[in-house]
Amino acid sequence: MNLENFISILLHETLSFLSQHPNLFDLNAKDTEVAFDRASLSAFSREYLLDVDASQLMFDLKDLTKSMKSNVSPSAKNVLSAHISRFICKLANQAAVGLDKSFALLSREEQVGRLQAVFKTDNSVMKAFKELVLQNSFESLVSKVRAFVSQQDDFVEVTVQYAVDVTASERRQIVSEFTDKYGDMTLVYFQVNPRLIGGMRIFANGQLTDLSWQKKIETLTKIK
Amino acid sequence: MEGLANLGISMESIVIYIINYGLLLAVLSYLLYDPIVKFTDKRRETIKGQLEEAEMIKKEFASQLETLKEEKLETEKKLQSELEAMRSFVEEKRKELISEMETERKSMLEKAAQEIAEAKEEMVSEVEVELQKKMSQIILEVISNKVPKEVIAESVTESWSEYKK
Repeated sequence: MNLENFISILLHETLSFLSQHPNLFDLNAKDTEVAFDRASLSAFSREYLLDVDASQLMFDLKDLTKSMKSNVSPSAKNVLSAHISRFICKLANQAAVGLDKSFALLSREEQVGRLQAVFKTDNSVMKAFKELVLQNSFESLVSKVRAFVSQQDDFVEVTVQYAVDVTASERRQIVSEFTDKYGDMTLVYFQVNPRLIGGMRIFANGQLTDLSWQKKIETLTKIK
Repeated sequence: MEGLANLGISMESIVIYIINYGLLLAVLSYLLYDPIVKFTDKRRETIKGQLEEAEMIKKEFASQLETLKEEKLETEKKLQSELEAMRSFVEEKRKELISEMETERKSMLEKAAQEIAEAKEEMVSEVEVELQKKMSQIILEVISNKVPKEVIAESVTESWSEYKK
């Protein structure tokens, strides 16, 4: 499982649902919700289908196919691409919050259990994402997500380094702070760096804020 | 008369002698006087001419000597003047050379001083950087081994609070 496969699964889910509900765009809000629930649709497909009409959907699919074939960035007007990016960022951030650095050291069964605890939903999309996390190291997954999402103008990357790992609650607070500040298309990546000794170092939207002890000690020991 | 006769000298003899002498003088004067006079005149003229020539040559020599003296003086003056000019030129060149050498010396000294200052600065800077690194390493080593984990975890939380401000 790689990121491209996961994106294909996202599109497959949306298109399968549309093929089963060809009159979706004619339904009222209540009936649409009912159809979504019956199909156990992922948050991605729900949000996207509520955000577009039939003509936008056609444009998005054509543009995304074209961009994937010719290996160029999708159009800025492509709502589907933006939704995929947002959704992937959201899942990656959720994984960053729920899975600490010890996750990589666990056995596969323990990892499955941990993933189940973090991602409780079990539709086809979330199953695929869990498989994606299991089959890739978190670093390589973040790298792939970054490569895909960086095509978006609104994308903001945040790297948070701290001396010792913090609790999931604190990580959630940090992610929440940055997504509130920079929007949903923000990818937060946590790193444990013992060389910082204490404190943290934040690289957000191209700006470095170094609040580490290492920096403070270096500053203090400067002669000049 | 009797006395002369006693001596054996007769008046006739004397007259004859006088006539002979007069004749001889007349003949000699007639035959030799003019050529001798001419010869002596010619000789005198020649000597006079030679003397005049000698005088002329002498005057010429004197004149030439004077000219030579003047020329010599002129040449000496010129030489002196040129020597003076040369001395002045050499002096000027010497001053220029000394000035250039002085400028060059100052420039070299300044450059050397600058290079020494830079090298010193670099050495001091390197030592400072090395010292800072060592100090940082020692402090980091001490802190990383001695500070309890809870304190470090707390520092992360504090940093986040500081960042949010």
